[in-house]
Amino acid sequence: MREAGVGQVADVLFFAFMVVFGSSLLVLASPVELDESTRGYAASLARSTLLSFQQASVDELGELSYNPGLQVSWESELGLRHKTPVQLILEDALLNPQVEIDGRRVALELNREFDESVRDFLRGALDRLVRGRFGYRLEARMTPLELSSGVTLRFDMVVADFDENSRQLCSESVSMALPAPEGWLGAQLEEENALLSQLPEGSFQWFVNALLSWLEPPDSVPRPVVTVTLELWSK
Amino acid sequence: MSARGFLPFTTVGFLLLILTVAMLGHFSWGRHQAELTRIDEGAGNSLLGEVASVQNDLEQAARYSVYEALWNVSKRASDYSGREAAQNRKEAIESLASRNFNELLSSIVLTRENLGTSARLDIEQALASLDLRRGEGGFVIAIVDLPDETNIGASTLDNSLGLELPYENFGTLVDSRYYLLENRMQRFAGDLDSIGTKWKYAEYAMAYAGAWGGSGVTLSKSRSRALFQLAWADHELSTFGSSDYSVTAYDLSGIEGADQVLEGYDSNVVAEPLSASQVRALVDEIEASLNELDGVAGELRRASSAVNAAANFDVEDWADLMSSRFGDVQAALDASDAEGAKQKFRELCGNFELTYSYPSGQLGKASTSIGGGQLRVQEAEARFQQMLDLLESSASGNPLMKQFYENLTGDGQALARQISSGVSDVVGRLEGLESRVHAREVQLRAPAELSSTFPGDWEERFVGAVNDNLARAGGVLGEARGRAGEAIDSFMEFVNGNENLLASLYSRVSSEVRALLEEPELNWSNPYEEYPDPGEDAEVPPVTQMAEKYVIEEGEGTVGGLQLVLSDVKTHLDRMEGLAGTFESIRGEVTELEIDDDLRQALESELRFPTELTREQAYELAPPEPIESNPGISVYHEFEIKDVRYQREDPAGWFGSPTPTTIPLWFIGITIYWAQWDVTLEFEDGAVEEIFDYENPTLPRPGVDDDNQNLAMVHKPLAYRYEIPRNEFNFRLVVISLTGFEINEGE
Repeated sequence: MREAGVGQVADVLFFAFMVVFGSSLLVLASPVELDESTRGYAASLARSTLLSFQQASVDELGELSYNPGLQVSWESELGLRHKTPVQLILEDALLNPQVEIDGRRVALELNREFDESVRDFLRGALDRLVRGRFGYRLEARMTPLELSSGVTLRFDMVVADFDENSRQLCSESVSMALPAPEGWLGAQLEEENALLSQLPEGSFQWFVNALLSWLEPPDSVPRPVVTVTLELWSK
Repeated sequence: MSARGFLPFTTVGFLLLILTVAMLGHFSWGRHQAELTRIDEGAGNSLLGEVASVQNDLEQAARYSVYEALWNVSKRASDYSGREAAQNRKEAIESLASRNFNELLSSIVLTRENLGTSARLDIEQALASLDLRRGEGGFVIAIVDLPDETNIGASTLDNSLGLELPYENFGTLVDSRYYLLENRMQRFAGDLDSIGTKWKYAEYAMAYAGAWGGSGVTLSKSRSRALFQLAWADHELSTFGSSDYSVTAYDLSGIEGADQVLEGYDSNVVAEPLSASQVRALVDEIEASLNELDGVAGELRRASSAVNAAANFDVEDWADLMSSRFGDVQAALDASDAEGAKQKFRELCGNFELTYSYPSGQLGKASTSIGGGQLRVQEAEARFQQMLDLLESSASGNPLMKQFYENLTGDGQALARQISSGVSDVVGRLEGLESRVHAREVQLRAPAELSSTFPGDWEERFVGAVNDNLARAGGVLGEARGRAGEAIDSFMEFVNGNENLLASLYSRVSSEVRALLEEPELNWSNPYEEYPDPGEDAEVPPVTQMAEKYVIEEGEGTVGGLQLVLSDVKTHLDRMEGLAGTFESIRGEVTELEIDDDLRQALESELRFPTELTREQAYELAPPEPIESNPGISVYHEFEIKDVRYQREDPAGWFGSPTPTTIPLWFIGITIYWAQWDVTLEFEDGAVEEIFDYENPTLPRPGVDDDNQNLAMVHKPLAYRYEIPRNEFNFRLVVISLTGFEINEGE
């Protein structure tokens, strides 16, 4: 009778162990995965946002105007209403390129007012579209364009609002060729005396020649590409 | 049943574990499938995004190609002229844009290949064509036609999912209102004459304000420049909704007295002194008045004739006639013509009745005619008054007509007073004449016993006798003849007794009528200088002439006098109508220039420009805000007025007189003062008109398109620049006044 009782207790204990073990497996393998769902939604939202940045006009997402900084006595605010956000980014790359000389980044800041207005506009648009649910980080980066040895043309811009301790949920990108009009860069550089003062001594002619050679490219050369990446982060 | 149970717990536990493992396997499989689906979906969406980015590249390339082409062509819009100018410009833009686009297209293909992304543009040859269409609001829609079988393709890295999208044509909005700018500039350049007509209106208003206001006509080159600038600005405002107010204000500030021009200019001054249709209406009334006076003359002549007929009535002849009529009745009886005898006897009786009343009846007719004459004289006066009323109504907004009206209705020898006094005199004299004739008419009514003597009841008795027996009728006729003889004798006695009275009356009436109708002697004269009328080609100096006319003095009014005065008035009104017609043809069409309050306000603003830029460059970079928000176009213009010339054209001016030419119209008591100039404004070297799409500063361009000066790239609005080859504006200024005016010409 005592042996039978001990056997039954062991039986029950083993049974209980099996139940607990099976339950643990079930819990671990639960089909309800909230994190994946959120990631999927975030990726979908990021793609939609990038798509809307290619299709929607400034008017539909906010407003943008800037003062070109001309010393005139009348109101000279320039309002851009019909451009798409992506177009603004491309034009920011056109109007505010950066030059890297021997590893030193020189921000030309030729049209800083426009650059700031674009950033403000993008920030406002992202706040409206995604900030209610996610943190964000939008980065626009132009493929470096090597004008000559040691001299590279770059453009990058970051607009972000997220908690660095949170998790990145997705990262979506879109790439666009830069439709630079003929002669766009030379017109800026010739005026920018500030840049010239930062050039290594004696390198001015060499630098300008390098630029001009790029400004008159042979037929059918690849254009600089601007990649816009939108990361969404958890809140 | 065993007390130890059906299955041991261990067995049950194993079974549960196996079940759990099976469920785990199922979950894992399901999750794997869901992950695959999510990856596929993500990959699909990524591919769509990639394809969209290629589409976006193409659209951007098209947009920037058109930006560049629009700028290059519309900055030289006037290079394309003629009837096909718009089409030629469009084709030039399409050609340039297609070239730009094809260059970018080749680069995009290479760029996509080098980028290493999954998206690609499959195109055999970068030979696209680009067409422009007008979009809503004047925007441009670029339609791009890519080569056949062009595709945008994308696939996943493992090629498990691929996408091929045929993409042979697409359209994209170019956010510059090229078509709006072109349309407005065509309207502006196609209607430059309206600048001339507005300037002309302003010059007329200023000249007439001086002529009629007493300060004299001043022709000032600086004022003409100012008025022309204002007319140009007004034409810009009405066409573009704005004007180049900064340069207009600047130019005005350099013109002496421009402030006074702006302050003193009054568009309400009616610079239309004479209207041919208005003068014609006056002439019509005068003609109606003259017709009435002609009617008065007719009435008076009829009255005189009637009195004459009464005075010259021959009663013996009538007695002989009646005797022969009795013979005629007897002859009818003898011929047994009963009906003829009755008819002739009836006529005979009627003749007796008529003849008894003939002298008084003629005087009655005369009296009626004189009464009718009075009425028609009064009607003539009423039509003259109507003419004055018309003149008064047209004088309300026209100083010249007002002056004319005052001249006609003033004191002294004013025409209205002459006509009123003359009509009053005539009416008084006619009333006297009428009462005199009427009194004689009453006096000459035949005694009633004459009728009872014969014909009395003799007609009835004779007719009854004829019906009864012709022989008895002969007896009755004899008796009737005897009574008729008695009646004739009595009537002859009555008439002969009044013969002198009638003769005297006729003498009085005829002399009065003659006096009333006779054309009076001219009683007023004055020497004057005779110039040709406006528009006549006279090359001889003025000659001294003597003006003579008749003035109706108080108490001396006659119909002839009224006729003479009014026909003279008509003659000078006809001349005035001719002057008015000539004036209207010279003055021609004008368009009212009213300086808009917003424009006036804008002209008060002072704009400062950067010293390192030209004004046009500054406008390109940041055009000033338009005066009107719709359609939102800023305006720039550039022209230099070389000179303003005034060439005197009236006869006094030909001979160097500093006063206007005088045209005396003595009969209506006025003198017209007339001066005329050919006014020409000349540009130094044409004009440039440039408009900017202020609402859409969308073209990224170098700050200054000049190799010597470069600023950073900025957004510029599309500019439409048009060079106007016209160098001269011209019109004729005619000033007409009823009061003399001074003429001053200055700088």
